[in-house]
Amino acid sequence: MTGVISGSGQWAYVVAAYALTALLIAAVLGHSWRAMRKAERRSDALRRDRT
Amino acid sequence: MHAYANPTRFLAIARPLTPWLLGLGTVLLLAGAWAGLAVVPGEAKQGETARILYVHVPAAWLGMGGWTALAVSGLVQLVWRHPLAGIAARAIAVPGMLFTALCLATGSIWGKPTWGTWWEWDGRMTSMLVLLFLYAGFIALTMGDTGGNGGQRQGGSLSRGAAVYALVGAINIPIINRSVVWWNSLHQGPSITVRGSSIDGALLWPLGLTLLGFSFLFGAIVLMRMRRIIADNRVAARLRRLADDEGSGV
Amino acid sequence: MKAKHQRLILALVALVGVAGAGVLAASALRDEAAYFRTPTEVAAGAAATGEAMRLGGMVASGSLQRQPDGLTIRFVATDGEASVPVEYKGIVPDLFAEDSGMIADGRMRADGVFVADRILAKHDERYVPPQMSHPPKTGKATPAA
Repeated sequence: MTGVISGSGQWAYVVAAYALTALLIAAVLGHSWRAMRKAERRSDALRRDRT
Repeated sequence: MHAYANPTRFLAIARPLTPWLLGLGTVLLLAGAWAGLAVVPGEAKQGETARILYVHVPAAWLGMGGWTALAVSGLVQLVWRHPLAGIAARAIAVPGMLFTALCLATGSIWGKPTWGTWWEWDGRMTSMLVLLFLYAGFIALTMGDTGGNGGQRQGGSLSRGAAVYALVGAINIPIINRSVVWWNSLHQGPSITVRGSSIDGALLWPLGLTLLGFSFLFGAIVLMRMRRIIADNRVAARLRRLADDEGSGV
Repeated sequence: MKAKHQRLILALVALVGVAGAGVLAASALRDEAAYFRTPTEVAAGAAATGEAMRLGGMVASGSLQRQPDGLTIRFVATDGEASVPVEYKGIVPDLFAEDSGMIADGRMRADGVFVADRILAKHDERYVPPQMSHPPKTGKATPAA
């Protein structure tokens, strides 16, 4: 009983944690980007209509 | 147009800053992840699972930092009625909740092989879960107050209730911070304090990279969401003016 | 009126959620505080025989023994001042080892042995690369909650 976890089973946890992080951040980034582009295009279009 | 004076100045900075934060944040985060996964060795006792630290710790700090910023925005809104305060608070809530959720999820993934359990009702974990619920509550509170014209409340400001909620919720932040000392049960004590770090230098440096990367991406998300709210406000204001013009026969 | 109602409902949902979380947290933490004992507290008589409790401490150096059945382990939990013998039948987490922190759920037997039905390994706040071994932590591993 050395107390050190050995074997490749550990990497499954590490990969799961990193993959989840990447996935969730990418999802929120993507959503925020698309929502911003859509809103700013709408705003720009209205401004052009007026002038 | 007075109310827009500040958002206009803000946009002049936010527009060029957004791609920089996005690019730098992504590069730093990738570099930190590569360093944490491939460059540094595993930890002496935990082995490879200690690498989860590099995503877990920045997520925890940003989750807590997010609410601190939210509370400051709430205060600025209540006291000075700055037109950007409410917009900022709305924009911070989503990434704050994201990083809090990531902190809980990665902590749970780390806990299973390390402690032998996915979850314990330990002081640190419970108070962090409360923070997640606080974020959810704030988003629910501010999502609903659309002011009846499809846009945000007048100029994206917060209702008094939401601003007070943001302030009151800040009580949880010092509780999270002290939880490992007050209820010493399962979660280990703080590794990094003002007095230094109990993480060896050889294992510490990738944390700097991921922390900067996470912070820049947090900033990028906040800027994008603020720009979106400002654009929505302008559209709502223009449509209102157009409707008024037609109504008065001009 | 519809938007106003919607807002009211959302606000109520948020309020109930936060209040619920707070009550849940408060009760969980109160239970935890009442439930958690250190070896010093046990030695001072804070644990009645048969009462469900949680014991936190370090696994004393050289005390870990595996019984012939291969499943039962015995060790001494210590906080540097007092120690309590522990018996546990089952699989322990990988990080469970001598000179490491642990938390055990169970109850005291009449003969003064703590019988655990669950053991969790506690990691300390130090992270070191494998070339440097963990020196045994001095002082109390788990200060009184």
